[in-house]
Amino acid sequence: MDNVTENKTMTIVKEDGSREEVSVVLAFEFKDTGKEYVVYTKNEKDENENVTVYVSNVDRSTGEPKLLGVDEESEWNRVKDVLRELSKAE
Amino acid sequence: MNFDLKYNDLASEFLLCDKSRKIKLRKASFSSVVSKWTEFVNEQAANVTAVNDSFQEAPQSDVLPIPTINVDETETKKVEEQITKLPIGIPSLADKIVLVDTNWGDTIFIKRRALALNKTMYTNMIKNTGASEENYTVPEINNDIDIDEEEIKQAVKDAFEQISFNKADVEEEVMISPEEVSSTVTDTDTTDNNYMDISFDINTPKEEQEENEVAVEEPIFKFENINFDKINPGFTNNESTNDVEESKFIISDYSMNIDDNSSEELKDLLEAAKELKNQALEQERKTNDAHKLAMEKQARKEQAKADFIAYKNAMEEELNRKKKEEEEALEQARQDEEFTSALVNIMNGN
Repeated sequence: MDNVTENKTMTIVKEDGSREEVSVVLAFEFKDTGKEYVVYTKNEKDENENVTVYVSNVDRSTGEPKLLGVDEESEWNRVKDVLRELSKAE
Repeated sequence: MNFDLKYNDLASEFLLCDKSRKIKLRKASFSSVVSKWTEFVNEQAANVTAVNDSFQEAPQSDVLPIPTINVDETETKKVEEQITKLPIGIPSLADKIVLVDTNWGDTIFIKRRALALNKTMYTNMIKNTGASEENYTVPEINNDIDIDEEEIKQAVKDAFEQISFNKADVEEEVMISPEEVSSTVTDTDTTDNNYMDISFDINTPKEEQEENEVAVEEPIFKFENINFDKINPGFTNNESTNDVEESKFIISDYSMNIDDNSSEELKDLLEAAKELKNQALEQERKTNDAHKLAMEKQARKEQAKADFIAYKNAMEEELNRKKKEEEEALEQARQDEEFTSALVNIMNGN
């Protein structure tokens, strides 16, 4: 089987009704809380080639998955720890 | 790590509240994250492919493949010759026993078929074996008699234990001629099961017997390595009735010991077959689950789309309503201004 190299894309719909297609970078969930997150990017790069990624909490409590914010700082810190872990070179 | 990467069923469209946190990753870090995610996704995809492949290999139903029959003309002829010399009843028994080469392996497998005999057949068979009546109770040939299943079962079992295919013994044991038996095959069924049900109508006239005879699948026999000394018939009564004419007794299952080693092999084969069947059922269940999951995912996707459209329509309605309210407010303000202006003019005497 060929490797899946292309990024999975998804469309987000903002409150003003505008739509935007973004690339999924990764998805994960915390074992202890079971909370699920998706990291995506709009392929925005600064002058140093740094890439901006966005993190949302995937809420499935209502049956339909919805993207919510990461409100708590402690939660956000844990998310950043995950990104740090995955950022380490092999 | 206290987290798991999750290859999930994210919908293609999300309502987003603009609350996503954002963070910048260095190019190398971003590449590392993407690399690990890609590796994870590929592993998951490979697993799915492996499962799908196993689905393809699995039997499409829970019916195990029927063993192929190894035709050996020489052996068959030998057996047929012996059968013609067997006493009444015995051939009917013998031709339900077939040796086959399985397509599950090289081991010979005994294919057992159900045998149905009526009382006459039992009686004749028992007589032909020369078994002592002290060891069993032979049912009377009487249409009014109540059939005791256990009695007949035991009688048949005893009779089978007496059966010998030794030519000399058979000749000595023939006690009645074929004409004394008024039984004939009236029905066969070899469709789905690996056994055959045959019933016998006791009172069918001889002319009709010939018409009613059903061609039985030609068995291929091998008598090598077979010990017929131990045949343990099971027994079920196919109909609950006291009417002997309509009573049919079917031996639907009986075990057969060839010899100790072969019996073990047969047992292993049956266990292997059961395991295969269970695996097939389990894989079928997984297939169904995967299909169900895919359907649910599609349904969620459709629902998300419908929700989005409803949300969009609601937003448009709200926008139109606000626009209309603003226009009405402007119109009212304009009218108020005109009214005020007119009032001022009147007060100024203009």
